[in-house]
Amino acid sequence: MMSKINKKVFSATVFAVITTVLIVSLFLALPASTQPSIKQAVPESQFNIDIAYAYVGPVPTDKESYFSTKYNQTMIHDSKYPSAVFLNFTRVPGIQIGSCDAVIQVYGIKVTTDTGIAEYHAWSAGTGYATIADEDFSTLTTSASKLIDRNLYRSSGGTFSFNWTENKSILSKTIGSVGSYTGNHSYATDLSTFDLSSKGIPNEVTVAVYRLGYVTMSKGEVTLYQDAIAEKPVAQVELSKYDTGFLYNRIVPSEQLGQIDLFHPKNSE
Amino acid sequence: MKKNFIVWLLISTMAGIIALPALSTVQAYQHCIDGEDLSYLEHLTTSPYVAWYCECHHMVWEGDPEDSMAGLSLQADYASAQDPRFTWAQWDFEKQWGDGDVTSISGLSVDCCVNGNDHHYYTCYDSPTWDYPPLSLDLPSPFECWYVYYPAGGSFDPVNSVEGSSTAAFYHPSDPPSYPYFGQIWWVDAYTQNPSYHPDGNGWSFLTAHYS
Repeated sequence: MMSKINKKVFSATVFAVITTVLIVSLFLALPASTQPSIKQAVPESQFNIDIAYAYVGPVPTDKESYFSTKYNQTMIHDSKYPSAVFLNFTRVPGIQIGSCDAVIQVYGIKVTTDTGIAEYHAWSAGTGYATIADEDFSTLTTSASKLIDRNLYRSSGGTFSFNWTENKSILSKTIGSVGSYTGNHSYATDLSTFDLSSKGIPNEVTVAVYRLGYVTMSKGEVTLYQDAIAEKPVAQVELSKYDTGFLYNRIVPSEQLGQIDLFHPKNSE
Repeated sequence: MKKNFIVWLLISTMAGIIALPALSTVQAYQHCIDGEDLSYLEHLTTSPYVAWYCECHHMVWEGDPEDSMAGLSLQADYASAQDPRFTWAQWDFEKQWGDGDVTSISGLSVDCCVNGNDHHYYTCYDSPTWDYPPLSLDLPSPFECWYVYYPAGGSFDPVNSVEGSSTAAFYHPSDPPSYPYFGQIWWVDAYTQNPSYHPDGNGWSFLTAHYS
C-alpha cells in the first residue's frame, strides 16, 4: 500500500516539477527573445551638450488647473513645483559615429532636489549623413525609445536635423514637467509622488544630463548602443535661488528676467 | 497525511501557474503628453498652459466586450498657419500576458476625426504603422485628430495589459526640414502604461480597459 502511495507521490512530484520547469522556462525565455540586441556604446559623441536654461519653481496660481470642455472635467497641473529645462546641442566637427546613414543620441535629464525627490525626462538629438526616408526616421525614433526606461522617465522626445552642419547649435524644446495636466482624478493616484516639493520646498536643485546611448541606421538597419549606467553626466548645473524658485539661465538677458514667464523663456525672444 | 499535503500543494501550484494569465484583466493608462511650449503660442493670453496637442481620455466600460479597446488619440489645434505642423505620427501597440510575454498587436484601427467627433474615415492596419496627417498641410486647418486603437471585440485575449505608444513629429513652417533649410524636426513620445509597473500615476491621464 505504502509502495503504491510512494509511486503516486513520486510520479506526481516528477510530473509537477517537469511541468513547472517547462512553464517557468517558457516565461523566462519569451521576454528575452523580444529584446533587441544592444551593443556597448563608444565614448565619442556626435554632439556637445550644455544646459542653456533651467527653472524649477511654484506653478503660477492661474496655471494650476483649467476646465477642459473637450473632456468635460477639470484638468490639474501634475506638479505644484514643476521644471522646465532647455538643452543646447552643438554638432561636434569631425566626428561621425560609425559608418551610418543617420544617428540619434539619447539623453536622460535628471532634476534632483536636496529633499530626495527627482524628476527624469529624456531628450534625443540626431542627424543624417545620407538621405533617409520618413519611414526610416520613424524607425530610428522608435528604436531610440528602447533605450529609455518607460518606468523611470516621465517624458521623452527629441530633435533631428537631416543635415546638422558642424558647429551648428540647436536648442531643445521644453523638457520638464511644466504644462503637464491630468484629468479624471478618481483614477489618478498620488500625483504628489512626482512633485519636486512633495517633501517640502527644496533648498537645492540640480540638473544633470546623462547620455543613455545612441542608435545608428545603415541602409535601413538599426543598431542600438547603450552607455554604461554609472556614466558621469555630460552636463550638470546647480540652480540658484531666484524669486520663489531656482534658476539657471544662459539665454535670457538678466534685465528681462523679471518680465517673463520663467517657465517659458523662449517667448522673451 | 504529509505526502497527501505535498501532492495537493504541487498540484495547486501547477494549477495556479496555469490559471494565472486567464484570470488577468486588461488595464492600460494613457498619458496626456505635454506640448505646453507650443500651447503657449496658441494660448498665450489664456489662463492655463493648455496642451497644444494631447493624447488623452478614452473611456472603456468594464464588462462591455464590444467596447473594450486600448487606444491613443493624437490631435492638434492650429491657431494659425505659422504654428508648428505635424510631419508624421506613428503608433505601436503590444499586449502583455503574464509578466513578460510581450506581443505586437496586429489589426490596429485608425480613425481620423474631424472636429473631434465626426469620424471622417476608417482604415485598418495589420501592423504598427505611421502616417502623414490625413488633412492638408497647407492650412490653417483648425483641428486634426487621429485615434488609433486596438479593438477588442468579443475575441479579446485575457491578457493582463495592452500598452501602446505613439510618436508625433513636428516642424515649423518657417523653418522646414527640407532643402535648403534643413530645420529641425522634433518629436515627442507618449505611452499607455501598465499600472502594475507604474502604479503611481505620473500625470497619466485616464484610460482603463477591463475585460474579464
